[in-house]
Amino acid sequence: MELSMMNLKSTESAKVNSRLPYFLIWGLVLVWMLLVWPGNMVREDASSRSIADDDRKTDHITQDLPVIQEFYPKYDRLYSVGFVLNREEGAVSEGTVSFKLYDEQIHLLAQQDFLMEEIADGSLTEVILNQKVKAGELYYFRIEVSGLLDKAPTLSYRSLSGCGPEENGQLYFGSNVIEDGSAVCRYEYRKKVGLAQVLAYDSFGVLMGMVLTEMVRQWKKKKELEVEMEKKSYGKK
Amino acid sequence: MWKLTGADQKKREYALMLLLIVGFALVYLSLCFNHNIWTDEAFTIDLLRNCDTYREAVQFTAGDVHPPLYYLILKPFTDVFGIRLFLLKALSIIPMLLTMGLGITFVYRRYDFRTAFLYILMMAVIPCSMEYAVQVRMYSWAMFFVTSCGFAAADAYDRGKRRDWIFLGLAGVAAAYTHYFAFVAVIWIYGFLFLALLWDAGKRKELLWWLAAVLLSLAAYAPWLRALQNQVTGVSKNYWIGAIDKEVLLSYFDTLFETKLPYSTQMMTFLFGAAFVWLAVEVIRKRKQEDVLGLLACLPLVMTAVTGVAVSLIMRPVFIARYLMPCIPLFSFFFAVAWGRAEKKIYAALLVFSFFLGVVDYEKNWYVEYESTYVPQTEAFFAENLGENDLIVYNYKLFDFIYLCYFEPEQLCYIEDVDLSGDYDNIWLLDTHYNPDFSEEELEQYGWQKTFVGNYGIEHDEFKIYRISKSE
Repeated sequence: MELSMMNLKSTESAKVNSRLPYFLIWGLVLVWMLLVWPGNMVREDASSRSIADDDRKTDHITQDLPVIQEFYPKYDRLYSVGFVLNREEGAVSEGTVSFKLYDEQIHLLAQQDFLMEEIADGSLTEVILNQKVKAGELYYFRIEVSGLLDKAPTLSYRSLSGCGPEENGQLYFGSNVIEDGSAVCRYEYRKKVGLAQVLAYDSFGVLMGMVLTEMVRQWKKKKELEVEMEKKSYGKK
Repeated sequence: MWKLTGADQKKREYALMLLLIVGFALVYLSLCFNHNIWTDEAFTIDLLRNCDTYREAVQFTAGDVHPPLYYLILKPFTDVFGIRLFLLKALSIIPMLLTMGLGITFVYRRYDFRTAFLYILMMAVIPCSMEYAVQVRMYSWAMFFVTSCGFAAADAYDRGKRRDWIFLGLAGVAAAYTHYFAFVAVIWIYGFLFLALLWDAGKRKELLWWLAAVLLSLAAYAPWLRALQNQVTGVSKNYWIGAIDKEVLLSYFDTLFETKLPYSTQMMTFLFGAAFVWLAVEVIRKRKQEDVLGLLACLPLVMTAVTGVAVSLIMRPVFIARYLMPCIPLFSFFFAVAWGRAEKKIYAALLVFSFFLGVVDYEKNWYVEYESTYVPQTEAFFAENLGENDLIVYNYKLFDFIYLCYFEPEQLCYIEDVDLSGDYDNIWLLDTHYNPDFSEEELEQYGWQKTFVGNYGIEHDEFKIYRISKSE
């Protein structure tokens, strides 16, 4: 009885061991699929920006006279915001530029400070945020400058009409609305992948699972064959 | 009751392959209902517009950097139907479908249904190809000619029938007259055929046919050699392509495999790499002719890239990744030979993945064709606002031949050629930044005033539109 129990247990254990690689493979496939969805670990780049260069500039930006741009993000992960400050061909060289991101209730969500020399003059400066936001809801970004000596930078903006980032709402200088104004800017997102993409990743995972399963199966078959050949040759001896 | 006879099975397989081809025809057609063109496409249109005769078209092309066959293929259609963007895009779809048709006439004949079906599918869903199926350029025709040449070489080796050699020669010459890097691919195909005939003692007498095909092809290409020489000389002095470095080489994989699916390059590189390893092992182990042919089919692409990079390093940069497009169907055939013999479930899983890859790629191409530029908004603006007695003025001279694709020549004028004393109702200025503009004094002198309208764009050119009207 004991011997048969031991045999049964060793057979069961052998079955589990023989199935272990398959469990591992398909476990990994399942993890892969869950990471894609609903994990959202794979995201796609998307970008939205002002079109057409523009030569409108705000007045000089200081700590008391910041620039504030309303915007409504398109997707739920705002990777970066780019804006264009003008430093009068390098004449503005001192000071600290603060970029602040607020939600609709004016809660500060993110802040980054730059030394003036880090700010691109007349071209895009990108602020990496990687911030979770709610698509379609109102947010603000605010740019203010402190520690100035004499000269201050200006912000490039353009007209709201025509084509450009749909995200932008009102632009403010200090507490005043800049009529028909929209900051020259770029919004970079990491958006969730769509259904077709999820299914493409899932099917790739299943494909890899099947390939690995087949490889393990072939390897086991080869091993079994070798064992049988050994037994036969041993039997003959 | 459910068991199909051999004939019924074949009919079903033909039907499935035809259904796949018709499906992709509809997919490609759905991408043609737009006015989205880019610079090179505008060049094609400009050539067709300016060249009344075939001779003029050949001469015009001789002054550019490509051979003339593509434009000569388009010309009869545009002579009859006019220069219509939809027609021109549709004429690029035809060779794609013909290349897929080779999956039935060649791949199915030599291999099996699974390989042929996968060849047709992969040719269409490999991320780089859909864009070129509807582009007003020569790449889809080059794909057809190079693939025909490759398959004809295989038949010539195998069967040695006269018509195979004739077809090889014709396809090779057509490829050479379509694109220079298609010509390079054909040279490599001839080279591999030569080596194969030399290797097989029983086939060495076929080398005479090979030589005849080479000599006749060269004779057929002789009329273009002078133009080729002039173009090579011109390019060696000055050309727009940038230097090739490690990053550029790695970007070739993105060109082939990148789509709206993050990490698609890595995934596809893995699948094609696995196909290569698998097939190479099979060739070493069993040396079956069909496996050798499948493996050889990846080499035109590889060797065209090697040749292009080598010439770029020795002479000057002349090669970019899209010049590999003519070799894509053969590359897909190589993939199909390897994965077509996979175990049933793996093959089915690969078909499912390929289907979703195709869907993702279609979404990307839809966006590129319909939503990636401001052309629809700009066209809508002018449809609403442009009067018969209005003039459209642009200041970005390099784009003049592109603007001509969107506006009537009678209503379009470069800024420095405008007569402000003319009797127009409105002048619409397309103001691209950093380009000449009207001065306030100039406008005042003739009683014009300028009002900003909005920000618009055509293709890569983004501009502000101003309405210049008479002061009241």
